[in-house]
Amino acid sequence: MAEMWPDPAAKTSRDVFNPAPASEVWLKDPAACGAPGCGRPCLVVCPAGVFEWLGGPVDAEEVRSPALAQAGKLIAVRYDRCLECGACLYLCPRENVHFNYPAGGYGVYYVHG
Amino acid sequence: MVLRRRKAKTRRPRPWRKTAGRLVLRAARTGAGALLACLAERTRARRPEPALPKVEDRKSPTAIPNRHDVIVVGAGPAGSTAAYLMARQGLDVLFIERGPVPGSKNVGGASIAVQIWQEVVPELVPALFEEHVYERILTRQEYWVMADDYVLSVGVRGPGYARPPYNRLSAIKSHIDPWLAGKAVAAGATLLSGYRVDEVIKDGEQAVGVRVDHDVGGDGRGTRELLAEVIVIAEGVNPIVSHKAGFVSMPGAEVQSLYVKETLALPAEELERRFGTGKDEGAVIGIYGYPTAGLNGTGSIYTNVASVGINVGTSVAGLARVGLNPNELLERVKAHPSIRPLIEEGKTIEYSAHLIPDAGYNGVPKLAHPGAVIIGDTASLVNGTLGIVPAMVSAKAATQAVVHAKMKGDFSEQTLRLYPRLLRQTFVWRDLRLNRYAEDYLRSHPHVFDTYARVVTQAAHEASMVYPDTSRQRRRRVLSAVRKIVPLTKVARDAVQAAWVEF
Repeated sequence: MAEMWPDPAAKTSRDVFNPAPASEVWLKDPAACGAPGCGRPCLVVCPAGVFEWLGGPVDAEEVRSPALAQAGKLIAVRYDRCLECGACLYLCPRENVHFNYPAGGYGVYYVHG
Repeated sequence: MVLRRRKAKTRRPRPWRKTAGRLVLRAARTGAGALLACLAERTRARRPEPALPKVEDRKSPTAIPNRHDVIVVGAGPAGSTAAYLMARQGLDVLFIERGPVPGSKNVGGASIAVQIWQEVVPELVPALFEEHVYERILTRQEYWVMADDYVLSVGVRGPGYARPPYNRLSAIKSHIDPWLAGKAVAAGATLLSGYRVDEVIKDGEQAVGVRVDHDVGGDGRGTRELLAEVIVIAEGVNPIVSHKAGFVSMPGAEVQSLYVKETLALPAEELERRFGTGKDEGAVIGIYGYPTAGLNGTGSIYTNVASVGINVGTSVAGLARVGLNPNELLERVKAHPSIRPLIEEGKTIEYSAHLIPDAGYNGVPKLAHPGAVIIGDTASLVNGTLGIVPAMVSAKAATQAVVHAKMKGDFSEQTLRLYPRLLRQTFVWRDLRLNRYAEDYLRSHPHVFDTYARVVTQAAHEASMVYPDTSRQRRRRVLSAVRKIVPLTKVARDAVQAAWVEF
């Protein structure tokens, strides 16, 4: 059996990275991600699992941690494993994701691309 | 013809190894010494280790003059081809790459179409073989239509593929892209690697330069302005710079396809045995239906020297609609009974993701702007079928237009419009145009890949089964298997609409 990777974030451990000192991916309005009705496709589709939900069970809006919501932190952006595909630019129904490539020389380094 | 009047400057094609020294000298001059030496090293060494250059070591590009004839944004297949062709025409070219070395950000379904290289960069084809920058000569091409259990495969193979004129070669982007960039440097272009272009500088409407993100030492980062008479934008699939400059509108999620790829290491002999190819020969299998789980999309498996690449992808919008991570598709394909034996015991050595523009003909933006042209996948000139071929062809057309503009001393939009005019005469453009309704058809018929993959595999399976029945009974059996999946009236309707698109 070849190696299986149900978790894409874990799979990025096989890649070479030179993480940038600062993230170029962020949420323009972090609190807006709690709005009901948003399917939050970023959490599901990002091939590297860069976007991580911090606000409690996704299905029950009311269970969301009020403390986190107040701090405006509902989604964590783990940019250090970003594969730089840019899918999040087109994914977000509210165009709430700011995406740019990391500063020159940083980021993922494909050796077998 | 106007274009014939270019500077008569013939260059002997030189073996790469001899130019390596020059490359290093030039690298030292440009201040990106460590990076370029690494580039030369990586290209010469047949299978390099992931030598990650230290970003801290990079010096500011103060040795690079402020003014050039041409600045190319991006050193991918389009950018490096353009830099190579323009440098050979005697232009002073600076090409800028955001990755530490060219190719480090690129992902490919990995095939070099030799006949296209022969068309665009014929001088490089002998070197391609002499310096052996490819992985394997693809002598076996297969297409698999897959359902849950059964696979209908169609393939073509033969010894002719291993002889000139060659058809396709498998290749690793992080070998072939720096090699091509190295050829551009050897032809006289200057490479600035490890610097991200942040925006196009404009004087009124006219693009006059670019602003690069610039490591000023310590923790600080600043910007530096580099000026040129014309900017060639080859920044890749995400039009970040060109959108900011107002050249291109942001594409939608429907027309961007997200592909993920996994590379699994396996011994060379084992790959040859599993894929049934000769020594140094490789196979590529296009996979349809099952891999994209009901969405329209494609996948492929191909062999490198000592690894197998397996990729699958579909539109970003499709993934969002059904709530799927592309890695789930990939893992599902890996577990398919027909795929699993091919990658058995393979060790995952890389996982990558990249977008491919799927907008086709209708997605091509305005290509010529005052002082700027747009080539490669930024201009939707890359696709799943032709790969990077349109990108290279667009680089060639853009080169001719830029050389013409240089001779005229006029870099207005009107002069640079020669580029789209030349592009329109190429087979790439005619092909895009012929298929201009196909993308719309697939978007309005999101079920076709899945439904018909199941239909043909089920029908083929049913036809292959030997029962004690007559041929008429067998035909009925096949037909009823099809009807269980889709009504025949729907088949007829889809077929008529497809024929309408095609002819």
